[in-house]
Amino acid sequence: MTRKILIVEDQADIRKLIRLTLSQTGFTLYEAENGDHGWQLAQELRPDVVLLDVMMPGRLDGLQVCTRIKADTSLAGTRVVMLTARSQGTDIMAGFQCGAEAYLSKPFSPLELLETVEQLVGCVG
Amino acid sequence: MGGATLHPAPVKSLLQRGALLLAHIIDRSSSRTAGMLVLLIGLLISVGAWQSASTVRNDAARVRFNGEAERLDNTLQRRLVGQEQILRGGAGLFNVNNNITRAQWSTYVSSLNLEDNYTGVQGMGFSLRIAPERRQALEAAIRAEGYPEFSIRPATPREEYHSIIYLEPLSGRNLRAFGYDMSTETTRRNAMNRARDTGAAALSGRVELVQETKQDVQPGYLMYYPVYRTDMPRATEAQRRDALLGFTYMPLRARDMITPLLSQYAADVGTEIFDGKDVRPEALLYSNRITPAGTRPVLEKLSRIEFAGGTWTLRHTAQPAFAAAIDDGRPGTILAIGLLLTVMFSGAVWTLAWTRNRAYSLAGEMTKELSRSESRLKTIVETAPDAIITLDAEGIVASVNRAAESIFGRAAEGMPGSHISCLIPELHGRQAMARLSSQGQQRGDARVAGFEGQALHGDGRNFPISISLGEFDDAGRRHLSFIVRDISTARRAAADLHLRDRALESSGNGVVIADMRLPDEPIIYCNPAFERISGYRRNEVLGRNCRFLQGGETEQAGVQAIRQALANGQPCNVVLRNYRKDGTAFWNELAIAPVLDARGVATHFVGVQNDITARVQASNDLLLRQQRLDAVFSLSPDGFVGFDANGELSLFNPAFSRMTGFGEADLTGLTEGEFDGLMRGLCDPAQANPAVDALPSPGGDKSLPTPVAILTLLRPTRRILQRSVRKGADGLGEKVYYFRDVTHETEVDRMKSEFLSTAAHELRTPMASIFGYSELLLTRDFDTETRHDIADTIHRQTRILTDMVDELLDLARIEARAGKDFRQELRPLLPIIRDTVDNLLIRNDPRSILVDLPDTGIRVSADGAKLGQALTNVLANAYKYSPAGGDIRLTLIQRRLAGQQQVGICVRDEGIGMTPETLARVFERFYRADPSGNIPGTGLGMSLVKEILEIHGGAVDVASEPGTGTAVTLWLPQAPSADLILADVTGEN
Repeated sequence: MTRKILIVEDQADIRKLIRLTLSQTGFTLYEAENGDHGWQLAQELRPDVVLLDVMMPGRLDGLQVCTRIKADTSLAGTRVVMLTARSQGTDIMAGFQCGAEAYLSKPFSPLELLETVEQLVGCVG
Repeated sequence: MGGATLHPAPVKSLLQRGALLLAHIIDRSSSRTAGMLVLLIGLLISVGAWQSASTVRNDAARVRFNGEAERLDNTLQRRLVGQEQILRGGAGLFNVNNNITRAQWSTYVSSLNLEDNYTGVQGMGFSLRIAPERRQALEAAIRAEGYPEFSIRPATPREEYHSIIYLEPLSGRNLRAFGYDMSTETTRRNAMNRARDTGAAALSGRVELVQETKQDVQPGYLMYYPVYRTDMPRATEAQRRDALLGFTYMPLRARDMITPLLSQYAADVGTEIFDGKDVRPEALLYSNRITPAGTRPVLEKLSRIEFAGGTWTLRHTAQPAFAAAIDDGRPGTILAIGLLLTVMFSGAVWTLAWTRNRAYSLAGEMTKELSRSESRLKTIVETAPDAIITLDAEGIVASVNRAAESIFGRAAEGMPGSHISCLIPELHGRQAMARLSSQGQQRGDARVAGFEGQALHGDGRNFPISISLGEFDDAGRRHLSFIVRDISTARRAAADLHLRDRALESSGNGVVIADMRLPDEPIIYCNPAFERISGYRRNEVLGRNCRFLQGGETEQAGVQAIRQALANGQPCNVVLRNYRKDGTAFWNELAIAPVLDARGVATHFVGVQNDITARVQASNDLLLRQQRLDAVFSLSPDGFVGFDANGELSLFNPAFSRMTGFGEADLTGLTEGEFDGLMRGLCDPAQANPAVDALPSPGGDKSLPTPVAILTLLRPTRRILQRSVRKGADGLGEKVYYFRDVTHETEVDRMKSEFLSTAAHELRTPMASIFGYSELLLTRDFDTETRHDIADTIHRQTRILTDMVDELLDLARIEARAGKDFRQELRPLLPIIRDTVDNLLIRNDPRSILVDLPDTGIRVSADGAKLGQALTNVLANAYKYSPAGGDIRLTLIQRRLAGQQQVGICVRDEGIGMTPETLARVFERFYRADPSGNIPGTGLGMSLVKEILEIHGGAVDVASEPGTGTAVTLWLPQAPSADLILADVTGEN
C-alpha cells in the first residue's frame, strides 16, 4: 500500500517545492490550498502524513485542522507536521499542544523535511 | 451753742423801782415810820418773797426748756445716724458686689420697711456715674428692662453723667426722680462731691426735691453715700474720684420726716431748723413755731447739729403756752404783786409743785422714748451682717450681736466677759485706745477709727477682718464699740486678682485691656507678650487707642467686625494685618471680649492677640500649592479617584469622568469595594481585573504605589486603563486611585508587534521558496526544464522579496518623515499620468490601458515621482486582479468636497473584484485579496497608495464587486485653473 501524504498549503510555490522534495520517495501526494479543503481530504484519504501550513485563508487554519485530525479516532495513524513561517516559541508550543508530531519553520530545508517525513512514516510502519 | 437766758430787763426794773420807793418812804416819813415800816417790810417781804418765787419759777422753766431742746437735738441726731446707717448698708451691698441688680436692690430696700421705720424718707436709690459715650447704651438697657420712658435728665451734654437708675419704691412721686442727674444741681452736686472725696456719708443742703408736685411743697434734703468700684484702689482722694461708681442716696422731705419725730414732745417749745451755720430765713428747713418770727420769745435756745459734713442750726423758742406761765414783768403788775402777796405765795408754792410733777412726768416719758429707741437700735444691731461688739475701757466684751456668732464661730453667749484679744489677738484694750486716739476722727460726739487685722475663729484659724471702732461715754465711763467684718472673701478675691495679674504677665499671647468708659477707649494695660509681638514699649501704648496697630489699613474686614462687636458689647475673633513698631506687618489673630458691669454695659474690652504670621504664610503657601494641585488634578488627562480616611470616595477628576462616564451621582460616597464593583461592570469579563486588595502589598513603605494593573474597559467605549493605587503617606487610610488611559499606546504596541510578526511571516514566505528551491538545486539533479522552472521561481520570489523590502522601507520612511521628503510643487497632472502609463511594465499581459483624458491644463501640488508610484501600484493591481482579461480604463473625474475642488484619477478593471469583507481590509498591510500566492504581491501596495495620497491632501476611494471588477480613484486637491472643462461627477464614485 502506497503511503499517502497530504500537503495543505496556500502558496503554490511552496506546494511545488514540497512536491519536488518528496517526488522520488514513492509517496502518493495530495494537495489542498486551504484548511477547509485540507480537512475534507484528510477525512477522505486518511493520509499517513499531513503537512500543514498554519496561516491560511479560509475558515480553518492549520492548528484547527491539526486539532480535528487528532480528535478523530479514524485518523489515529495520521502524523502531522506543522509547517509555518511562525517561529516564535509560543507558536511552536501551540503546534505541539494541538498534537502535531513535528514542527518545521519556514524557510525550511527540503532535506530536513524529507528526513522528518521518513522518520514519521518509519514510526508508523 | 448758745445757753438759754431768761431776759432780766423787766424784773430788774421792778426791783430797782421797789428799792427806790422804799428808800423814798423811809426818807420822807419819820413819825409814821414804824407803821410804814411794817407795811414796808411787809411789802419788802412781799416783794422779796415774790422775787424769790419768781427766780425759782424762772430757773425751772429754763431747765425744762433746755432739756426739751437738747432732747430734740438728740432725737434728730439719732434719726440722721439711723438714716446714714441704712444708706451705708446699701452702699455696703455695692461695695461687696458692684453688680447689684435692680431686683436685689428692691429686695434690700423693701426689707428695711422704710415707711414704717423711717418716716419722711422718700425712698432709697442708687445713682450711677456714667461716661458720656456709655449714656445711650445705658438708656437703651434700662428701657429694655421695661421702662420705655427712661432717660437721663436733663439731657444737656456734659463731661460726666449721673443718673438715678434704682429708686425704691419706684412709684408715685419717685417716678419723677427716676433717671434724674442730681449732679446738675449745685446743692446736690456739692454733697455728692463731698461724699465721693471723703468716702463717707454726705448731707446735702436744703433743696426742693424733684419728687415735689405743685401741692404741699416742702423743703427737703438728701443724703449720699459713695460707692466705689471694687477693683480699683480708693486710698487717696484722687483714687476715690477715679473709682467712683455712684451713690446710694436717700431723698427726704423735711416736714414729713421731722413732724412725727417731734410730735412726741411738748408743743410749747417751737423748733426751727435752718440749713447752715446761721439763722437765715431763706434756709429754713422746718418750723413748728407758732409765734411770729419777728416777736421776741421769752426763752430761746440756738443749737447746731453737725452731721455728715452738713450743719443744721436749730432755734428752739418757748411758745405762748410756755411763756404764759412766766411773768413778763410789766410795771403795772408791781402793785398787784404786793396786794396779792399771799395769793402769789400760794400760787408760787403751787407752781413749784406743778413744775416738779411736770419734770417727773417728762422724765418718765424720756425713759420710755429711750427704751423705744434702744429697742430699735437693738433690732438694727441684731440684724446687721457685721459683728457688733461693745467693750469696756479694759477691753472686756460687754455685748455681741447675732452676726458675731457666725463670724467668729463661737456661741454669742460665750463671748461677753472675755477679753477682746480672745477674738482679735492683736488687740488689747490699751492698744485699741491708743489707736483710737491717734488715728480716729471726731464724728459728732463720738470718736471713730477703722483698721484691718486678723481675728481668731472658734475653729482656731485666723481670718482677715476689717474693724470700725468707736468710742463713747456712758455715765462717765469709756466704752468701745466694734463693727467687725469678715474680709476673707474680699482678700481671696484680691489674691485671685494678683494671681491673674501674674498669669497675664507671663502669658505668651499679647493681652491688652481698653477702658470703654474713657474718651477714645484708651489701652490701660498691656502685658510683656504684647510688647514683644508689637515692638512697642508699654509706656508707648498706654493711653492710646488700639487702632495705631492697624497702620493705614483701617478698613480691613476684621476691623469692621471689631467695631460691630464693640458697639454691641459682644466678643469676637478676627485676623488682622497689623504693623509692628518697626513697620513690618504681622498677622494678628485677635480675640476680644467685653467686660460687662451689672447693667450689661461694657466697661472694658480685653484683647488677646496671637502672632500667626508664620501660620498664615504657611497656610497661604499651602493654599497656593493646593490650587496648583487642583489645576493639575482637573486638567490632568489621567483619572484620579480619592478615598478619604473613612474609606469613602470623596473626589474624582474630570478625566476620570471622561474615561468611565461616571459622574457625581454615581461615585460620591462609594466604598472601595463598591467602586471596584462599578469598575468591574465596565470591564471585559474575560480580562483579569485584579482587585486592589488582591495585589501584593508594597511592603514597608505604604506611600509607594501598588503595582500597576491593566483594566480592559468595554463601556462606555473600549479603553485600556492602567490603574495604580497610592495610599496616604500618613497611613490614615486615605487612598488615591490613578488611572492612565493607555488605549492608544496599547493599540500602537499591538499594531507594531502584529506588523512585525506579519512582516516577518511575509518575508519568510518568499524566503522559504528561495531557500528550499536553492537547496534542492544544490542537492539533486534535475532535468533542464525543471531546473529552469526552479530558477524562475527563485527569481520571482526574490523579486517579491525585494519589492516587499522596498515598499516596507517606503512606508516606514513616509510614516517616519510624514512626507517631509516629498518634493511637492504645482505641476500639470496629465504628464504625470501619461509618463506613468507609458513606463508601466507588465510582463506576460498584452493588454494596454484605455486612457481617456480630457485636454486640460489641470494642475495639482504633487511630488511627481511619488504620485507616479501610487498610480503604478493601482494600475499593477488592476492587471493582477483581472487575470482573465477585460479592459482597464483610466479617466479623470472631479468633485467638490468641503468647499474644495478635487480631481480624481479613476482606474477601473473588470477583474475578480472584492467582497465587502475584503474591501474593508484593502488598506491593511500585507493583506492580499488573493492569499494563495497565485497573484504575486506584497500586500503593501494599497497601504503605500493611501499614505502617499493622504500626504498630498487627497484620498483613495475603492469600489468593487466580486466578479465584476474594481474601481480605484485617487483624489487630489485641484489647483485653481481657468480652462477646466471636465464633466462634473460630484456625488459619483
